[in-house]
Amino acid sequence: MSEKKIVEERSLILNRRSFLGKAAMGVGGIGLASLIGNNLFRKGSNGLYTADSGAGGVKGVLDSLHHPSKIKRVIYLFQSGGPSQLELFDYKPLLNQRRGEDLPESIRNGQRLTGMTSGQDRFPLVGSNFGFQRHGKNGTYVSDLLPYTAKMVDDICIIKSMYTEAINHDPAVTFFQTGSQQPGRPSIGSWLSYGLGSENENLPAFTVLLSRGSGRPNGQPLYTRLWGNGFLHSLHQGVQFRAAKDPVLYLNDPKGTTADVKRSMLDKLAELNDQHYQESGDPEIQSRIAQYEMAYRMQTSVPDVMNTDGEPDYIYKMYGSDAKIPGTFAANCLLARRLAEKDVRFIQLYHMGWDQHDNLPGAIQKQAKDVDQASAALVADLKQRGLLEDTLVIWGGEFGRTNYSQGLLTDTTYGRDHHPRCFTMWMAGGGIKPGMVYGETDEFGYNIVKNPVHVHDFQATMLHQLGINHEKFTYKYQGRRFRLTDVEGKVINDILA
Amino acid sequence: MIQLGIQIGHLHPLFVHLPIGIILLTFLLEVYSRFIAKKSFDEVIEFTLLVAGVTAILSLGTGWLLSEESGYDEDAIFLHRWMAVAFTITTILLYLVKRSKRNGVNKTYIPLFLVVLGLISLTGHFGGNMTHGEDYLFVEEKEEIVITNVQEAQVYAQIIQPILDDKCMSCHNASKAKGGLVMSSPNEMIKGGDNGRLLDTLSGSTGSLFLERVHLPIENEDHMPPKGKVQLTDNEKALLEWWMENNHCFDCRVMELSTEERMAAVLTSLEQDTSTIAVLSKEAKEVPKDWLQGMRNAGIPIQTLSGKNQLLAVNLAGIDSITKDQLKALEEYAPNIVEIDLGFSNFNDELMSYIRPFRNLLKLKLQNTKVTDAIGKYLVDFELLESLNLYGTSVTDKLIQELKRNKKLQNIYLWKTDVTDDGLVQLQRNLPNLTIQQLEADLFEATVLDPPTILSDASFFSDSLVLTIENLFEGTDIYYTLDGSVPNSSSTKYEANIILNNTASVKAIAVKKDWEPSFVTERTFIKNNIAYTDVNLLTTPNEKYKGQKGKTLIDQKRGSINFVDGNWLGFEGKHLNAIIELKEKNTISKVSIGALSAPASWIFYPTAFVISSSNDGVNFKEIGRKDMGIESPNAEVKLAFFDMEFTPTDAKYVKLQIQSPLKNPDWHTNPGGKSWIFIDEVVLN
Repeated sequence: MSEKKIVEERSLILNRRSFLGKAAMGVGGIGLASLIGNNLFRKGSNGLYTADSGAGGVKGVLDSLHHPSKIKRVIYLFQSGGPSQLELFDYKPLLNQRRGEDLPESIRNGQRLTGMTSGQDRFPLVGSNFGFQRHGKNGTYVSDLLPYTAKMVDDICIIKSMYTEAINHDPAVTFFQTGSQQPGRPSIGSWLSYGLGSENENLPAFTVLLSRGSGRPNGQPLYTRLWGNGFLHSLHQGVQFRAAKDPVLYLNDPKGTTADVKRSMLDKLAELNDQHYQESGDPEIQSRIAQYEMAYRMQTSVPDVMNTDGEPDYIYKMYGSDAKIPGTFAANCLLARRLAEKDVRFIQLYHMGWDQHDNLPGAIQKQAKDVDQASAALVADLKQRGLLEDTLVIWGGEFGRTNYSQGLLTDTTYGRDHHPRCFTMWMAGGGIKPGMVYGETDEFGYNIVKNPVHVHDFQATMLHQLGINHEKFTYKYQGRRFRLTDVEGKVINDILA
Repeated sequence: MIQLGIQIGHLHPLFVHLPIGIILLTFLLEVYSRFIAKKSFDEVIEFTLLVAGVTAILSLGTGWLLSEESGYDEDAIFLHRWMAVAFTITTILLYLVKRSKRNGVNKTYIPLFLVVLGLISLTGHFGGNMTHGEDYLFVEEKEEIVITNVQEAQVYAQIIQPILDDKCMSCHNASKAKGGLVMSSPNEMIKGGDNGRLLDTLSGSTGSLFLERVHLPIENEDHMPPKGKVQLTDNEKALLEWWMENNHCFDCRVMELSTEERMAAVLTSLEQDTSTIAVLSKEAKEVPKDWLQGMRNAGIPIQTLSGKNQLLAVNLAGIDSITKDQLKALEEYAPNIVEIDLGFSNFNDELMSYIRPFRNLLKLKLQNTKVTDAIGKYLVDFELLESLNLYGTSVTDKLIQELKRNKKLQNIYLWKTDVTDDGLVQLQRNLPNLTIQQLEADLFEATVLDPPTILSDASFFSDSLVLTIENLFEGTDIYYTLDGSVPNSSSTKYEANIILNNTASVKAIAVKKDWEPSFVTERTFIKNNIAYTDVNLLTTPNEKYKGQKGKTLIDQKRGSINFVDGNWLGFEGKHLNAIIELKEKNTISKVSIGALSAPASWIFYPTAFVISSSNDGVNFKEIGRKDMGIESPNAEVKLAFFDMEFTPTDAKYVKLQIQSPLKNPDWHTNPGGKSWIFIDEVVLN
C-alpha cells in the first residue's frame, strides 16, 4: 500500500468513526447535521465540505450555474400513495360507458400486476363516480372533487402522461425522490443542497413536512431515508419540521439553560473540538462545530417560521380553516409559503393516504378535500406575493391507479390498484407554461398515446429550471459518477415557457 | 482500368505533403549550413533534394490519376496540375544544379531554389482550394442569418440553404462539384447532378434522390454527407423532409407551408433569442471571480446568472442592515446587474438613489419595504424593467401613474398597497402589455369553517360528565344540540361547559361572519352506571387482537378504525361467547355492543346477538335476541353501536353470544373466506 493510499484509508476510517459518533447522537443529531448554511463551509480536497467560519464561503459545489435559472426554489407537494388520475384529472367517459366490462387484453398488453390484484380473475373497467367540468381559458377538464384547483387551472400545467418503472410504493417513491428504485441514493433536495447550497444561513436548504390524509389515515408510512443524503455529506440531509412543540427535535435548550450559559458552553465546546481537530485532522469535527452554531441560530429562526399566529384571517380563508391545525396538509402548505419567503431551496411536503385499493369513492372525497383548497391557495398566495415567478410548485404522486376495479365493484363503490403506465401530475410557476395540458392517454386511460414523460424526464426538467444541466451534475462515489437522473432523462422543452 | 487509376489516385493526399516538407527542410539546411559554414552538409542536401524530386514525381502521378474522378472544376485542376508539373521539373533541375560543380551553373542555384519555393506554395494553395473550398483560408464574413419570428422566415433562403451551406457545399460548390452536383442556388439544385435530377428523381415527394441519399445507412458509400464528414442533425433532417414534403418551395415563407405539430418545435428552435436578457448578456463584460468573492465577503449575496452568462443577480432579501456603501460597491459592475431582490429588508427611499446606476435592471423586488411614492422618479429610469414587486409597501396611485415610460414592464405586484382599483385601470391603460398580478376577488370566498371540537375526558360516564366545545378561530359562535337533531344557528349557543346527565349524542357547528358555517361535528357519550367484576371469555380471540382479554369489553375505551390499537377483540371464523359478572345484582334493560366493519380487511358486523341472564352463573335464561343479518355490499371502514332493549331483568351474571357471519358473504371479492368480527365494548343499563 502506497503512502498516499494509507493516508486516504486513514481519512476514511476517520469519516466512519465520525459518522458512528453522529449516529449515536440520535435522529436529532443527524437532523442537525444538515442544517448548515453553506457559507460556513469550504469544499475540502476530498470533495466534502469542511467548516470555515469566515463569512461568505462557497455556496454549493457548483461554482456557477450551467445556464441561467428560471427558479430559485422548489415546493414539492408529494401525494404519497398514488392518487387516482381517473378521478381527478384524466377524464375517460368510455370507462363509465363500459363499466363492469373486462379490460381488453390488447390494452393491458402484458402489464405486470401487483400481488394485490394478481389473484383477481377479472378486471372490470370502472369510470369515475365523480363528474368532470371544463374550466379555465382552455376548457381543461378537472374533476368536481377539486373545485379550487379547477379555479387555478389557468396557472398550472397538467401533465397527463407521466409514467414510472416501479409498481409498489417504496420503490416508486424512492425512484421519484432519488432517481433509483433501490435505496441509497441522495434525495432531490439533498442533491440541490449539495449543488446549490443554502440561500438563508439561518435555515436548512432542504426541509420536509409530513401530513396524514383522511382518505386512508393508516396508509403506508414514509421512511426518513426518502429525504436522506445517500452518499452525499450528511449535512445535505432533509430536516423534518414536525407539527409539535419542538418542530426540530433536540433544538431547544434544556430547562434552566439561559442564552449566556448556552453561548459559553458552545464556545468552550468549540475550543475542545478544535483541539481534537488539530490532533486528528478529521474535517467532520469542523463540520460539527459549525453545526452547533447553526443549531444555535435556528433556535430563533425556526420558531419564527413555524409560528403562524401572525397570519391574518384572510390567509386561513385561502388555505382553508384546517390550516389552523398543525400537521394538516393545509397547515404545511402555509408553512411552505413561509419557508419559500425565507429562501429555503427545497421544501418537500408529503401527504399520505392516496393508496385507495378499496372504497375509493368514499376515501378520495375526503382525501381530495384535504389537499384541493390548500394546494390551490399555495399557488395563489405565491402568485400575489410575486414568489411564483421564481418558485416551482409540483403536485403529484409516485404512480397512478388502474382503470379496472380492485375488489368489490358496486354502483357506489370500487377500488383501484397501482398503475405505473400513466398518471397525472401538475406543475406551476417559474418558467412552466401556465394553463397547459401536456400528454395524452388512450380512451381507456391505461396507456400513453402522446408525449410520454418519464420520471427521469421530470427530474431533468426540474434541474433544468434551477439552472442545472442534469447530465453534468454528478457525484463520484465508489468509482462511478452518479446523477439524479441516472443515465437517462430528457428536458421536456414543450412545457417550458 | 480508369477505376483502378482513380483508386491509386486516392493515394495523392498521402504523397503531396512529402515534397512540400522536404523542400522546406532542404532550404533550412542550406541556410543553416551557410551560417555555420559546414561543407559536410552538402551531401545531405543533395540527398534530400533527390528524395524531394522522387516524391514530387509520385505526387504528380497520383494527382494526375485522381483528376480522372469527376466533380472537380476544370479550371482549378488545370492550374494545380500544370503548376505541379513545373514544380516537379524545377525540383529535379535544382537537384542537378546542386550536383554540378561548374561555376556558372552554381550561380543559378539560389534563384532556382526560390522559384521552387514559389511554385510549391502556389501548387499547394490551388490544391488546398479544391479540397477545402476557396473560402477556407480567407473566410468571408458571412452575414449571420437571424430569425426572430420563424413564421415570417423565408423557407429556402433562411432555413434550407444555410443547412446546405453548412453540411453539403464544401463538396458541392462551383469549383468542386462532386457527382456533378452544385447546391449553391435553386437553379443548380433543380438541375441536379450526374446521377440525375436531385429533387424529383423518383415519383412521390419522399422518393427524391436527395432524401434517399440522406436516409441511406451511414455505412453505405452513397450516404450523404459521406462518413467522416459532419453529419446532418435530426432537426436538420426533419427540416429538409418538411421542405421536400412541401414540394421544395424556393420562395415560400414558413407560414405558407403546412406545418405538422412535431415541426412546430423544430421550427421554433431556429428562432434567435432577441429577448432583452439575451442581448444584455451578449454585451456584458466579464465579472472577475475575486470581485464577486469580495462582494460576498462584504455581506452581499451576489452571483452571475450562469457560468457563461455574466449578468448578475443580487439577493439582499431579508437583510435588515443594507448600507449605502454596500450598494455603492456594486456600482463597478452596474451594467451587469439585472436582478435585485430587496424584499423584507431595511431598504427605503433614501437608499433608492444608490441603485440608480443599475440601468439594466429587469427584475426589481421591493416587497415589504419602507419605500413610498418618492421612488417613482427613479423607477421611470429603469426602462428595461420587466418585473416590479411592490407588494406590502405603502405606494399609491401617484407612483404607478409615473410608470408610463416603463414600456417593457410585464409583471407588477401591487397586493397590499394603497393603490386603488381606479389606479390599476389607469395603469393598465398606460401600459397595455402589463399583467397586473392579482387574484380574483371571489376565488376563496366560500371557505368552510373548521368544525368545532367536543372535548371530554371520556366517552363513558356513570353520573354526569362535563363537556367543552372549542374552535380554533377567534370570533366564532358555536351552536349545539343534545337530542340528535342537526344544529343550526338557532340551536342552543355554546357559552359555557355542558353538563351531561344522560347518554347523549352531542352535535355542534361553528359559525363565523364571512365564512361558510362548519360541518356538523358529533360525539356520543354513554352513561353506564353498572359496575363489573370481570368478563370471562368462552371463545378465545385471535392472538393478534386479544387486547386486555375480557376486560377490553368493559374498559370504557372505544376502539378506533385503526383496529390494531389494542382496544379491540378480534375473532376469526368464530362467534364471541362471554359471561359478564356484575359487581352486584342489578336490574338491566338495555345492552349496547360496539363493533367494527371493514369488508376489505374481511371484518364484518355481527349478524345477531343473544343475551341471557343468571343469578348463579350456571343457569342462564335468554332475555333478548337481535338479528341484524348480513351486511349489504359495501367497502367502508366504520364503527357502530348495536342497541337492544328488553324487559327489565335482575341479573348478577349476563351471558353474551355475539354471532359472526363466519364466512365472507357472496358479494365479497373473496366469498367464503374466514371472516372476522371485532368488538370493543359492551354496555349494560
